[in-house]
Amino acid sequence: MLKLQKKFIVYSLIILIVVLSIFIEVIFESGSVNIEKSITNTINAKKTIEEINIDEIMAPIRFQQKKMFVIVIILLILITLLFYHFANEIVKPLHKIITESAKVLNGDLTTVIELDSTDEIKDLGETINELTSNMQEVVVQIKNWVENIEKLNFEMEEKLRKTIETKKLNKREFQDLLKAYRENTALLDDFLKLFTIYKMKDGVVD
Amino acid sequence: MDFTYWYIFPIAFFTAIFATGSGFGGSAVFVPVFYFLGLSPIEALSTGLVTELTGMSSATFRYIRQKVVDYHMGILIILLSVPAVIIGRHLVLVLNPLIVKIIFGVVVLVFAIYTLLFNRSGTWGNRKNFPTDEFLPYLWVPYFGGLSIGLTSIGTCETTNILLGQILKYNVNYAVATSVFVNGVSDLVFSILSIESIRWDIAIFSMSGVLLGGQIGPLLNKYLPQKALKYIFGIALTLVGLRMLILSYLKLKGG
Repeated sequence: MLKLQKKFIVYSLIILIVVLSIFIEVIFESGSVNIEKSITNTINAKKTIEEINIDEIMAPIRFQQKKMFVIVIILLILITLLFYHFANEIVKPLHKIITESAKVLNGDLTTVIELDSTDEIKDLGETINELTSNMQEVVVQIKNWVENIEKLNFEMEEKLRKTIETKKLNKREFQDLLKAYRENTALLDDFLKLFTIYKMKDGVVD
Repeated sequence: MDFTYWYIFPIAFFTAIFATGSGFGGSAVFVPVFYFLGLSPIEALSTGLVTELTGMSSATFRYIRQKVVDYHMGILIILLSVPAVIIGRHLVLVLNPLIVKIIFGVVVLVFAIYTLLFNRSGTWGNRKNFPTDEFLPYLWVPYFGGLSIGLTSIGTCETTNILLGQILKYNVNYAVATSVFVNGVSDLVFSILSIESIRWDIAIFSMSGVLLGGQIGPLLNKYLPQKALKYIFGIALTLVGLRMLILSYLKLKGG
């Protein structure tokens, strides 16, 4: 079972236990024998019906109402605590991943997502960190390749310029030029091979 | 002011001094005393827990300041134990007082024997927190602790301590601090719900005694033989639990 699934089960069970317990308590309290006893005693203590004071009879019920109110407040505090906790544990790391990923999207490849959690959200963060690290390597390699190609192109250009200037091209010079051209092509081939590990969407590559 | 129960003050004072390092909660000591004074179960438990709350609150604030409370686990345990405290408290109101006393006797016996025989600090680990997903098999423990504290005034601190320290291998300071925090909240909920049952004529002396003893206790801790105190309290509570269990059972049987 996934860790996140287990986490959801823990939270769901806690909600169930809290709600069920309070529900049982409310049912117990509303049907309390003590209220009945208290009302009966109050009525029995009076000799005539005129002596019966409605406030006196209602007192235990009103007290019960106050108690219910306190229990509901406790329930609300518990549920709020639970959701706050849930938000801290699940939503907060997800939000962090989204904001840090936006930085990557804007070109900051030095971004590292650090999370305290131990579940799949942390795995997701670590995967994004690896992805960013790979992207950084690819960018560095592209930069190096382009620089090498630029260097070779410059050398070829120099040789061609000299040849045009002298209007002479001996066999040796021709072979050097050809070699440089082949090296340049090989570099480009290697560079293209680098991308064969990536799958591309249809239509992106012709 | 009614001074009938003035002698509760020295009892509470010395209990707070000597119980601080013994590992036993204050209510385990006070509730039998209150039963002995003839209080009904709900009165004894409410007065015992409000007394314990007084002692626990200063300890809780101290631990919060030291930043050794694991709120993550603490809140999860509170969420499970508080509803059970409410149910347990209700059971005290509807059950036969003798049955409540028998349950109290059993719980005191179990925790006293456990503390005497198995509670070794060497078996604790170094964790400072615990992942929620791995908490799934232990959900019943805080609920049981809450039910126990609602029924007997003992349980949340003890079960949380065992769960965090011995099973989940928490660092001893974090386990104790988180247990005290959870117990403080459980005591508070019980006290609020049972405010009409608290015997303030007794609580005024027990609370002030605990408050004063709780300040002096930690200062004297290093001079007191902690291991011996733990055994003395353990044996005394075993005897109290046994006595209450047998007497209540005999009364129940005798009708």
